[in-house]
Amino acid sequence: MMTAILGAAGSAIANMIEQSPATAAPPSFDNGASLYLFNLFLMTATTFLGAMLVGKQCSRIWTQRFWDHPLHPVTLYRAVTFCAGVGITLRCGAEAMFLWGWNPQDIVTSARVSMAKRWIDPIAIGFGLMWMTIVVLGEPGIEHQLRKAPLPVDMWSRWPVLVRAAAVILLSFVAALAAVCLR
Amino acid sequence: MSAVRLGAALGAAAMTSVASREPVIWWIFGEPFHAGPTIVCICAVIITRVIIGLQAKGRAQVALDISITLLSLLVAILWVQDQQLELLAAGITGIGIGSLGAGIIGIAKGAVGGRVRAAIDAFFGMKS
Repeated sequence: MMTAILGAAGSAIANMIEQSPATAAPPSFDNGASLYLFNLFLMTATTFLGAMLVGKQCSRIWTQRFWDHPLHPVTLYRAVTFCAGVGITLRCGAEAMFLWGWNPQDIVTSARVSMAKRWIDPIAIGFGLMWMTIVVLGEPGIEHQLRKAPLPVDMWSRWPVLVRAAAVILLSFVAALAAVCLR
Repeated sequence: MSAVRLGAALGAAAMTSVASREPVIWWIFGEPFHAGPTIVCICAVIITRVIIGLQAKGRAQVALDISITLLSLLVAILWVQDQQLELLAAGITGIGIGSLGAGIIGIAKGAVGGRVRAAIDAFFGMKS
């Protein structure tokens, strides 16, 4: 796999990028600048947000490892969110690398990021299937536990936690805008 | 939505011809720089410091955090300019230097310290 990606010069995608007319965005955007901006912004922002979620869940699982054992519902919940976070981070990270690295004048990099995406996607799918499996297998036990008091969940008092996420989203939009308008 | 339309208007002009187009150059203090990769690098450093930096609590930590962010910004921007990096490389450089954070000081100390010591030895060695 690594030799295939590193030796990208003669690959099929490199030949295609070389022969097709040069576009500032990948061809599937049909030279649509706002669509390219939207995708670039969302993929970049979601990669960072996913990485934040994964890091937070990892640290919580680790610090609670003496009290919350692997088959407790809370650990299953953390495992589900961890796998979902890793899945979406890998998927959006591969896509973001592809969109950022698209440069018809630098064919080798463009080919490398296109091919790397194809290898990273199945790993992301693997994590996706893992969290779905945990949900399906743990459903009766988890739902039984979740029906216990206190209900309902007070979500609105947790607003300030989202400030950091909002900052990341805003900065990603500025970066994507710079990429599209100031190339 | 107006931001999207602005992006569409500017980007449509940018999207049309890639090969014959000049890269956007801005000027600061008489020095030219590529606008796109520099802005991307700045955003990447700030995002990384926002994610990694703000784990600590307290007032003094905020000042320290801002100083480390400014230092990382300086090193990253100068690196992007020196190496004339494109968008992806500039973004990854920003993320990397942002994640080094305070480690940049140690790395620079190691890189320069040996040479300074050798230069001082040579200076004093020559005199005596």
